[in-house]
Amino acid sequence: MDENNLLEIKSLSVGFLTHSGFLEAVHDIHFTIPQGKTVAVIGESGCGKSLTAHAILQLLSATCRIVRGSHIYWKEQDLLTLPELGMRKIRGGELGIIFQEPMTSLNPVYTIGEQLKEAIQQHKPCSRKQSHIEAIALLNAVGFPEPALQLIRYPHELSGGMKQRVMIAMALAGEPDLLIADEPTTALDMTTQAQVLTLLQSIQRAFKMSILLITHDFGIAQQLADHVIVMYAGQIVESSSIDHFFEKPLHPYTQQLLNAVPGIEKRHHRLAVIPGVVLPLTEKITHCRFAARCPHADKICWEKEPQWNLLDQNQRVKCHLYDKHYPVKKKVIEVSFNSASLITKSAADAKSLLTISNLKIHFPVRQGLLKRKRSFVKAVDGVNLTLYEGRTLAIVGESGCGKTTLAKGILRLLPISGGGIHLNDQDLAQLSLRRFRHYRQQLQIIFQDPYSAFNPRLRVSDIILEGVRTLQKKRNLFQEESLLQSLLEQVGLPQDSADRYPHEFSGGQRQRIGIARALAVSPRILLCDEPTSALDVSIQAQILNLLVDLQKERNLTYLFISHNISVVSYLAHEIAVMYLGRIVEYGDAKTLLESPKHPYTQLLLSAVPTIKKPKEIVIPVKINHTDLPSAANPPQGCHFHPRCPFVMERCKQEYPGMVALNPSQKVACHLYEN
Amino acid sequence: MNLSFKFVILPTDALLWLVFLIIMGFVLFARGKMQLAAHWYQVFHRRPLTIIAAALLGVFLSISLLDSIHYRVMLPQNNNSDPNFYDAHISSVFDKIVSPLGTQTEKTYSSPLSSDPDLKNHYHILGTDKIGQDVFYVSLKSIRTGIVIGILTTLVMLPFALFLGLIAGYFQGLADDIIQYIYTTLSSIPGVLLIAASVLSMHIFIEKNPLAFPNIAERADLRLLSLCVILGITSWTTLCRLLRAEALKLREMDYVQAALSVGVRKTRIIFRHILPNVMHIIMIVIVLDFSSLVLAEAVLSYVGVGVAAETFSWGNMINSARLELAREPVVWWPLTAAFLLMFILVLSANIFADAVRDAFDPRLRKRR
Repeated sequence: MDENNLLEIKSLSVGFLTHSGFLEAVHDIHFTIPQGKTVAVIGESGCGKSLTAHAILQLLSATCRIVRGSHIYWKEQDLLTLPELGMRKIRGGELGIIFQEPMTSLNPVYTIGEQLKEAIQQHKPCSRKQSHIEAIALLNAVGFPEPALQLIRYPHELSGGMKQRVMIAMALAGEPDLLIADEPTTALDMTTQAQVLTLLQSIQRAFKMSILLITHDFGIAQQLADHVIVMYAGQIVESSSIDHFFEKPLHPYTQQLLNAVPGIEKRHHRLAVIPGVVLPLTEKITHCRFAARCPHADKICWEKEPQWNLLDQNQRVKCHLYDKHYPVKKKVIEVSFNSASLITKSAADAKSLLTISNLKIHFPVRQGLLKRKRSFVKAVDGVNLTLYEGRTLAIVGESGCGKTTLAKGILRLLPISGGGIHLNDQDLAQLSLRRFRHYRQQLQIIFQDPYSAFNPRLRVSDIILEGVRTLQKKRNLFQEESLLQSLLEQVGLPQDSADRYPHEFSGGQRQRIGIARALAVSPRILLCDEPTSALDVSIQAQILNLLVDLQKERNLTYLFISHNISVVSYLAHEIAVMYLGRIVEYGDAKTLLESPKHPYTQLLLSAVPTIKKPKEIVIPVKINHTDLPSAANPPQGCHFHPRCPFVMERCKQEYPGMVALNPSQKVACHLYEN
Repeated sequence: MNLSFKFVILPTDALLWLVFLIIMGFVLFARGKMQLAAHWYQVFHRRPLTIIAAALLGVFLSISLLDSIHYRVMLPQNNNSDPNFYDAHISSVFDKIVSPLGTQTEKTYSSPLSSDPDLKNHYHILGTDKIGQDVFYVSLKSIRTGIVIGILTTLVMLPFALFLGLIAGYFQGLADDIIQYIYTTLSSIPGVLLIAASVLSMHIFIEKNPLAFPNIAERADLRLLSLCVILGITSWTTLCRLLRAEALKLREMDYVQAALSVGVRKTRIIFRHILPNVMHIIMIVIVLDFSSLVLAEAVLSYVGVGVAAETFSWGNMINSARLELAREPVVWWPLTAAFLLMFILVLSANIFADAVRDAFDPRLRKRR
C-alpha cells in the first residue's frame, strides 16, 4: 500500500437483499484517496455512489450486505473487520461526514452550540469552557459572522447555507483526515452553493485533509476535485486526474454525459441523449454494462466485460475502445445541428401574447387574537413582463424570490392583489374566477416535483384527459382515445402507458406525463416551474429536447422558471432576473448572459460552477455573508443593497427605477441611472 | 292467506339490512367493472389469512343478519279469541335455525361440557350462565348487538367526519374556524357523561310513552339504536380532525393545483383528488373505532347506561362476570366466551381491512 494513501478500497461490492434476489448496487470497485487530495465520485442517481460512501462509514441499512472479499483499508487497517465499537471511534472523528440535507441533519430542539459542543466532547474529552472556546473557533473557521452570538441559536433560525456550515463545523470537530461530502450543496441555492464550495476549498487547505466528494454535477467536481471517478451501474468506468478528465473524457458514457449538460454554446444543437435505461443489476452481468446504450458498441462489448485500460499514469478507463487486444472501431457520432434548434426569429418580429403589468401578490400576515392583518409578505411586488408568441421567457432567481408565486398568480391559483395580466386584449386579473375558467385552457403549468404532481389513485389516461373532460360538455370517447394516443406519442411515452399508474414510471417519464397533461387542452402558454431540477443530467437533456421540439411544432410560448443558469442559457430567448418579488434585470438571453449589468445578476452568474471556467473561480463581486433576506421584511431602498458590493448611500434610501440600457436590456440599479 | 306468524321489523333490523343491501349492490356493480373486480381479486389472491378473516366476518355477518329477521308466532287459537293472536315473545330466524339451543335451559350455572346428572341431558359446550341459559347461544346472539353497534355507529359518524373534515381542510377560512370550534367543544365534554345523560333521557321518554312501545324487544331495540346514534355523534371528532389535517396537506399538492388550472370544479376536486387519497385513513380509523365501539358497549353496560339488560350483548356478559369471577369455584366461561368472540371479530376485521387497503393503494400493489 502506498504510504500517501489514506483510504484504499479494494474490490468492494455492496448489494441489497430484495424480493427479486440480490441486487449488487456496487460491483467490484477499486480506488484510493491520497493524503490531502479531493476525489470526486460522479454519477447519476442509482449508480451506487452514495452507497459507496455509506459502506466506507459502515452506515448501511439492514437489507444491505457487503460481499465477501471486499476490503476498505483506512490507514492500513481494514474497516470491514473492525467491530462497531472501534468503528465508532473512527466515524465522525478521523472520518468526517456531511450529508445532503442540512435541514434534517440537525436536531431542532438543541441549539447549534449544544450540538457542536457534543461533537467536540465526543472526540476530545475536555471541560465545558474549553469546548465552548473550541466551538467558537470552529464556527469562525466555517465563516460564521459573530460566532459567539450564534451558539445559542436554534437550527430553525438559520438558513440552509448556515446549517450546512454548522454541519461542516461539526465534522471538523473530530479533526478528520478525510471528509466525506455526500452531495453537500444539492439542497442549497446557487449563491449559497458557491459559498459552501469555496468554504470546503479553503478548509481543505487549512486543515490539510482529504475530501471524498460525491456529486452529480461536473461543475462542482471541476471546481473542487483533484481526481475524478465516474460510476455507472455500480461500476467505476473511468478514473482520471482532473485536468485530463475535462480535456479528454474517455468513456463513451462520460462523453455523452458531458454533451448532455446544457449551456449557451449548445443553443443550436440538440442535446446529446443517452438512449435506453440502466440495465437491471439483479442478474449476473458478463458484458460491458454500458453496451446497450453505447453508440460504439461492437460484438466484443457484448461478449466480454472490459478490463482497466491504463492510458496514462492518471487516466484509466473500462472500455474496449482503448483495448489493444480487442480494438473496437470508434464510430463518428453526428451531432444533429438545427434539428432541434431554437426558433431564431428576433423579438421584434414576435407578437406579444401575454403582458403582465405591475402584478402584485401579497400574502397577509395575521396576528393576534382576532387575526387581524398586521402586515403583508410581498411575494410578488410590481412585476412587468411580456411573453412573446412562440418564444421562451426565463425567470431566474434564488429560491424564495417569488418565481413560483408569480407563475401561480398568473394561473390565478393564488389571489392577485393588484396589477393586470393581459392575454390579447382581455385583462385576466380583472375577471372573476368563474369567468376566468374559460381562459384556463390557454395557460397550463408543468410542475417541478414529478412525484407530487399526479394523483396516485388515477391512471395515466385519466390524469391526461382530466382537463379535456372538464372543458367538454359531452364526452366523446373516440375523440378522447385518439387525443390520448397522439399525446403519448408526442411526449415519447409507450402506448400502453395509458392504463398504468404514475408510480410505475421513472422521474423523467413522469415529467413527460406532466407535459402531456398540460398539452391535452392545447394551451398557448406553458408555465414550466423548474421542470428538470429533480432529474438527472441525461434525463434533463431528453426533457429539454422535448420542450424545444414541442415549441416548434405547436408554436408554444414558455414561461420557464429555473435557478439553473445552464438550462436557462440553453433554452431561453429572454431572461428576467427576479429578486425579492421584483424584476431587477431583463434582457435578451445572449446579451444578458454575456454582459450582466445588475450586481445581483453578476453574483448569480459567477456562482454557477461551470466546466469551462478555470479551476480557481474568480468571483468578481465579493459576496457578503448575508443570505437572502425575508420577503416579509425586505430591506429599505434597493432590496439588494445589504449584499451589494457597489452599495451607495442612495441605494439605502430609494428603490431604483427600470433603466433601458439598450433595446434589448433593462436594469433596475442606481449604478446605471443617467 | 293466513300465515302462522307475523314479521316484526325493528328499526335496527331495517338499518342493518339496508347496509347489507347497499354492500351487495356495490358488489354487483363492481363485478361489472374490470378495474374494481381486479382490485377485489387482489384482496384475496394468495392471501390465505385474508380469506380466513373474510370467511369469519362472513359468518358473523350472516348470523347477525339472520338474527335480524324477527317474527312473532301465532299462538294456537282459543275458541272465541281474536284470530290475530300472536306470541308476545319476538323470535328470529336465527333462533329457529339453532332452535333447541335457545330453549334448552338449566337451573343455573353449569361448566362447559359438564355431564352432571342434575342437567337435563343437554350438553352445553360453553356451559350455562346464572339463569341457566346456554352461554354459546348467548354469545352467538350477542354478535348481532356488536355488529349493529359497530356498523350503525360508523354510519352515523362517517358523514359528519367526512363532510366536516374535508370542508374544513379544503376551504379553510370561516368554515374551518366554525368546524374546529364545534369539535373542540364536543371533545371537551367527557364522553361517558354525555352518553349517560342522553341514554337516561331516552329512558324517560320510553317510560312516558309506554303505548308507543308495547313490546319489551321494541324498547330494547330503541335503546340500542339510540346508543348507536349517541355514540356516533360523540365519536366523529377524531376522524374529522385527521381528515382536516390531511385535506390541508393534499390541497397544496401539485395535482390539485393542476386540476384547478384546467378548471375542475371544487366539489369535483374533493371527490376525485382528495377523497380517494384519504381513504386509507378512513379505513384505518373505522376499523380501530369498530373495535373500540364494541369495547365501549361493554364499558357503558358496566356503568349501566349501555344496552338494555335483557339484550344479549358481550357488554352484559362481561358486566355479570364481575360477580362470577368472585365466586368459588370461579365461573370463567361466560367471560371467556365473550372475550373469544370479540377477539375473533375484531382481529378478522383488522386483517381484512388491512388487505383491502393494500389492494386499493396503487403504490403498494406492485411490491407484494
